[in-house]
Amino acid sequence: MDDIFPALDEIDKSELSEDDLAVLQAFEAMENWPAIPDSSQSSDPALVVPLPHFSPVNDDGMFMLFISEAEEDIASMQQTLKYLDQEDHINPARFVRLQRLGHKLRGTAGAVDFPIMSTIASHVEVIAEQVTEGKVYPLVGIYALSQTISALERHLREIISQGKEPEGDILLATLDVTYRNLNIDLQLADEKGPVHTHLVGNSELYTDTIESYEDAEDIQHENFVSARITTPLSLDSVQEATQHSHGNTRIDVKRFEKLSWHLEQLVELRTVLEDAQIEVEKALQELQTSQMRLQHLEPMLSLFLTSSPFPQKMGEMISSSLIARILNEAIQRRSPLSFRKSRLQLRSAAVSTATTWDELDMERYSEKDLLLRSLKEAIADVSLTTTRLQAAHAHLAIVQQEYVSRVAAVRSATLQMRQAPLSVLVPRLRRVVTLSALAQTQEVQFEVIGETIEIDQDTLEALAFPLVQLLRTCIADTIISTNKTEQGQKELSRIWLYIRETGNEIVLEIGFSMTVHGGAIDAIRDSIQRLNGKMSLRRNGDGGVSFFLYIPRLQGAVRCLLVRTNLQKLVIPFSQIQRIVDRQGEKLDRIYHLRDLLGFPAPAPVAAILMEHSQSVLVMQETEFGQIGIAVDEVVGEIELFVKPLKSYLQRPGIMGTAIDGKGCVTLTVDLPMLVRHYTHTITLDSLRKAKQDAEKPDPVAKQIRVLVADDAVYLRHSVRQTLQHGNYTVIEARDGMEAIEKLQESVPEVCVLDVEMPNLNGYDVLNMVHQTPELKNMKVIMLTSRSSEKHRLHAIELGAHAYLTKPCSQETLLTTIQELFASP
Amino acid sequence: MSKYDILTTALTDQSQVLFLEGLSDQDFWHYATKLASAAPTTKVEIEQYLECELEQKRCILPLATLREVVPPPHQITLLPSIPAWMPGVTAWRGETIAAVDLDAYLRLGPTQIRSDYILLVIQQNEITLGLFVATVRSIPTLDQQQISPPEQAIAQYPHLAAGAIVGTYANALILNTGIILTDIVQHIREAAAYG
Repeated sequence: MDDIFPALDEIDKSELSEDDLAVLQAFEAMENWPAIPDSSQSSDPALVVPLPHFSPVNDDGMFMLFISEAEEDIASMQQTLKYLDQEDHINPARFVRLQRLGHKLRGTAGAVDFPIMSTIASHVEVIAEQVTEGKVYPLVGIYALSQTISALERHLREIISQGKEPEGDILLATLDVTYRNLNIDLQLADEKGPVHTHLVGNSELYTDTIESYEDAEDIQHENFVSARITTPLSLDSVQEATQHSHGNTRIDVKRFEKLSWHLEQLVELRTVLEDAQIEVEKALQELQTSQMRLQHLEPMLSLFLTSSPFPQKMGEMISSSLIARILNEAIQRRSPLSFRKSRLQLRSAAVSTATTWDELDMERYSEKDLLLRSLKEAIADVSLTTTRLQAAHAHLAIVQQEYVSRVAAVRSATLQMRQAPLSVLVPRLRRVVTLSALAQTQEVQFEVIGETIEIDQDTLEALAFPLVQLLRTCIADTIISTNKTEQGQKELSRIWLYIRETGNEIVLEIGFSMTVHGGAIDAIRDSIQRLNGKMSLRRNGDGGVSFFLYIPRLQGAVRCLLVRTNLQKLVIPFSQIQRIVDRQGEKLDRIYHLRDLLGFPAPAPVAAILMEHSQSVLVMQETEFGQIGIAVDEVVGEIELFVKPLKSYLQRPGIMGTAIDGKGCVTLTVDLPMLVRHYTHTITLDSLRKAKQDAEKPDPVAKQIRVLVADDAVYLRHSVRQTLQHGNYTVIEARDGMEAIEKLQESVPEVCVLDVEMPNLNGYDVLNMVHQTPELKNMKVIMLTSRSSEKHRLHAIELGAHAYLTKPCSQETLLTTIQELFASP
Repeated sequence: MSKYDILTTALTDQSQVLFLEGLSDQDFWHYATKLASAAPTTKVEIEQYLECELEQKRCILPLATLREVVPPPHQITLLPSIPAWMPGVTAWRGETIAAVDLDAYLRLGPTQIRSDYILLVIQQNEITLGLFVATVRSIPTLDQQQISPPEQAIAQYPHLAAGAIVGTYANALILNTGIILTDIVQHIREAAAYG
């Protein structure tokens, strides 16, 4: 115990609350108590050594005192957990209090001979400690602790009703299943180090207890099905998402990252290998061609050597250097000069050594014969080697293919180790909804679909804050009308979280069936940007607002089509393409060139003509514009790439991310639907702008200027409209933030007069959306609000407002401000 | 001794001590928080730089922010909607980074990089960028006295962000990479929004 907590006199008591002090004093008192029971053993009451001093059976006073103290401790735990859960950024150090409370209750329960309760309390202690040490993510820890503390509470109630501690095997097994599903290993209590748990499918850790868990899982399932009605917490989704895992082990994060990096390098080798293979194939083909030429020349050479005289022109026909050399030597030998020289050499040799003299000229014959035979043998050798090389190459290709697919499998499995289901967030979000002011006044249904989709654990942790903020902000107060149905019942409000995957993105739709409070976009903008994510919003079928968050997966392999436009290669996920056709092959509603969509420069005229004939057209999946074809200069092939999101400042509409190939070349991954949408929008705006410029006359400009007035107050809208119409402006009205955004999506006015306080997204939300939409870059925004403080003014200017007027505002001030905005460059 | 100038002053100056004593608890913590979050202001008297040759001029960059000098060849990928002085993006240690023609950026003109240009990978404040230069030269060690004031150079580059030019040394511009990087990122971001 001394290792776990410092002695009381080492702590500055002034920094501690009364509760903390009491807890620490209790530690001092428990100095000689037994060590933390092993969770795997402690479920067996026989293994917990009963202390001699008292027991609940023979000491009612002590029993009541324990019950009272335990109730107090559990309440403190629940309170602490509640505070932690409400924090936007959970500080793991805040779990220390839970650790202390768990430790205290473990000791007191052990002292009164309640081993099950002592064991469950020790779970609280261990889990809190693991969160503090960074071994368990805070979100996961909160969930696990809430389950454990609930179990403690239930168990205490049983003790009170029965007057003794009941059997707790099932309860402990149920908790063990919960921890197992959350990848929490209570055995790790004594191990230190900044590590997180990841699934690795190590079934050995739990194989001995799997059978006993099966019953527990059934019971637990029933418990949670019934609990779902009364409490926002549910483990069902977590269980579903992690049901394939049968254990876990610890992996050091740094080592894991190193492994991932090596894997990435290994994957990138694929391109290098493929290039090398292509080179080998080329060399093989050349070797085969040379061999055929040799085979072709060999009979000619035979003919030449056995006949005479040798035609001079034959030498010119022969291109192989080996054959040329052989023939050249032969020619030299057969020429009269060479013959005489040879004879002279022979004679001279005869003089020196009589034994080497060849009367029948056998030497020349055998030389020729030998030469031919050697050539034939050499050709046969080359032929044999080529065949062997081809066989080896074919085998290498198979092995390489196998290697590539295994690397892909290892990478995929490694990536999965980093992932966790989004269902881990659900209990927290459900609690936010349950505790909201809205839920106090009317019935709220929170629906989740797609929570089993897995995402990188870091992304998951970073996503918790914006999601909680979004929910909290949207249902922050009771401005929402509490409508009643015809039967007099309160109307049901729906909030939903739909999650789906598209390519390398996770799309989260957070929908509200009712009017939402403003400020949500302002609250989550930075968090989403940090995740390199995007955001959009739309009015949904229920008449409320749906927020769409597009979060890129940190890393992921995507099967893509590799295409070329100009000299640049790009990849397009297969999921976006229906089929590939020839340029003239099929009639489509529209055809765009990928180069134009990307805004890349056009090729030189000659190259353009050549490209026109060689272009392929990728037919996109059906869109709102009908069948759209995308022309590319070349379809290179298919490829699986490791796509990463771009840094926020490098992000471009229609570019999902980049992949780096083995040669260190960056390849852009294209999001075709987004690219087409962006392109058509820009073209439309440009043509509108041009038409407007053409139509512009020297008449007063005011007639042409359209002003969007967004304010929830009917009187104010009416008053501003009259003022603006008096100044010859055309007025468009919006009753709330959402309607303002919808009007801006329909057409772009020259000026937007925005109120801050509005239902269904406030003025800052609209400003945020305006700031993120390039098409609205030329629109002037004037804030017209009753918020007069400098803080609000600065915030609006920071978000891109051009002017800030406070209510009440004179007609003259409003008109002058608009004129000044147009007068300034 | 603290590396924070402001703290050193606070501890040595009697009036500062009196000032601190006169503060309420709340004001004291506010002041302490402010001091704690203040960046170190200790001036490094001597700093090492890297001298680079651009198309028509020379510039000097602090060596402390330089991560790597990458020799050619370079694989550059064109990205839509980028400033004219940016050839595209490139890969560095498994990351996609922006590659900028430093000469073109300084003169606010279109990029004209050659295949033999050298890429300097600069990293500061979590921003990593590649800057193309024609060649790299010496690694001078300069102290404050050797650096001429920037006024004249600033007048020649009015479009650059304030503080981007620290001074000059032997007619070479000494650049503040922190400000340059932030400005480049801002331009790249704006190019996406406004084309």
